[in-house]
Amino acid sequence: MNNVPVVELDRLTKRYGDVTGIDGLEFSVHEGEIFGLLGPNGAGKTTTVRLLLDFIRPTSGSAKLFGMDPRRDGIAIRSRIGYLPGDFVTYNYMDADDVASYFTSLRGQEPIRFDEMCQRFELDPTRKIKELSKGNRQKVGLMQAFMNDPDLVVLDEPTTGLDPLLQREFQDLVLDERNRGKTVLLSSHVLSEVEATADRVCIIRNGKSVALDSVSDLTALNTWLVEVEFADSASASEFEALADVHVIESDEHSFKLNVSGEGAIDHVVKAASLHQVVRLESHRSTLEDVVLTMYSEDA
Amino acid sequence: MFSMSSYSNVFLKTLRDRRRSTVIISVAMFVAGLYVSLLYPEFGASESLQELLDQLPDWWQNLIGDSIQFGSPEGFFTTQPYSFLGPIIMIAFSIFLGQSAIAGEEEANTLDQLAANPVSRTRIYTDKALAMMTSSLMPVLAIALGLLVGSTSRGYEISYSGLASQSFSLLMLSFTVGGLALSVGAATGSKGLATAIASAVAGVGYLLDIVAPFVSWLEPTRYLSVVYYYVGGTPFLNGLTLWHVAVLAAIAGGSIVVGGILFDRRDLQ
Repeated sequence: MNNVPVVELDRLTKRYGDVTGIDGLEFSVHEGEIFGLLGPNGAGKTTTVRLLLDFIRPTSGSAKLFGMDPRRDGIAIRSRIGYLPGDFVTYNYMDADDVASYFTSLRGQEPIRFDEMCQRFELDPTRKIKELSKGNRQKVGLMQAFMNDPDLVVLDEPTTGLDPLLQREFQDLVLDERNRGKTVLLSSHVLSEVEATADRVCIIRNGKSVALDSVSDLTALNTWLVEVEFADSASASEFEALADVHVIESDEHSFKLNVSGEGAIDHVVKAASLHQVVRLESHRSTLEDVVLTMYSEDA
Repeated sequence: MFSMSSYSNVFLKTLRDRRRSTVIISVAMFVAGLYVSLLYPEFGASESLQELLDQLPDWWQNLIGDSIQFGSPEGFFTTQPYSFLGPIIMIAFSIFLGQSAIAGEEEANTLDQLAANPVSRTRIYTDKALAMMTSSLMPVLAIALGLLVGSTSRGYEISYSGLASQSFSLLMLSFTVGGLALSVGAATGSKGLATAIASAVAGVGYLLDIVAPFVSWLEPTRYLSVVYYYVGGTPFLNGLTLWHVAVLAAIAGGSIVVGGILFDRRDLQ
């Protein structure tokens, strides 16, 4: 393992006229790491990925992959990357064998994991792409991203169209990649998928990074999601006034609260006791809770 | 037509993708050449037809070709197929090839997949341009072959050098119009714009070549027509006019080079 980050963004910015795609994005992805890029639709995830692959060029800032510039050293960089685009489309008249044959020729690398991928995702490589369902087409996309055993796999919304069993298979594959020392950049809006696989995540909204941390730190042990329901009426301001408590959802009788920090949960229980409680549930925050909290804070 | 090895690079794959249309157009062109050359002894050499055509207005004669030279096979073939059917089909085919090369892949959302491989955009573009040229060559050769087969079977001779000059000139016209479509498509990612601009250049070229000689103030504009540089020097009869070839080569080469530079610099859609 060397010290050069596999991916390194430095104030990376992309604007389309007056519209900002991403704005000053900064993060590094290290060898052997699974890095999640999280955000709602239109947050700038795909823009970031397309900048890394040199499909589009930055307005300002820079990106480096394996210490190299995506434009100047694009061929060297892309020879080490497997890529699955967000909306995977390929040549309809081909079958998966043809797709593998074509891209393998262009790469000049053996598709050493082709059979393994077909087996893993139960893909029949002899069927024409145009005859495949969306889920099966996505399997072709995953197959071609992994078949040459690249050092870095960039996956944009990889489980689109996959059934739950294959989603689980995909997660196992990604975790196996990390164990083999490979690096994965996973762009997704499916929080559970990122939470199950990623070591660190960058959460982006409106093109800007709103959080960059390890999944374990983001879902820290002292962060809880509390749901409380009253028979009588209550006001959100009663909870918002409490330190380290954030109201995520509320109506007159029920409240969903993000609670963090020492002692905060005690304050919530005491505030709730002023009303007639009919339900009180709490559980450790998931990544989804954290992200939804960030989005609601940012909105 | 191609084996699995035809997926070994962008050039061969593009040729393979276009093989069906290339074969269909080539067969049609061969049949057109054969048909015209089989008819020539009865039709082209007919004095009464020549007299009839001579009575037509000049612009009409110009539209259907240089009818004044009907007396020889070379003059007859300059008129048909090389003044109307041949160039019209080749212009349409070249525009189809050019606009589909880069802009076609981009609009079909397959260009990202292609560009994600360790291949430069310049290489992709060059392979696409070479495939377009190779595909254009087939129908041009087919029409010439049709003329050769027809003339041989009817027992009359045609000038091989004239046929080669005319074929080369038609190929240059195809490269010019197809090159424009390729470069506009590559520079903008829009098939529609590529088709519109290349069609406008070819269409206006036709119009100017037909009309300009008969309207004095329009006469100089004939030199703005790509069709003039294709057939204005009557290459079947007179051989190639080098500066006409040079103009077409400059437009084709210039547009292809500029299109490649703009493609390399822009954001993919």
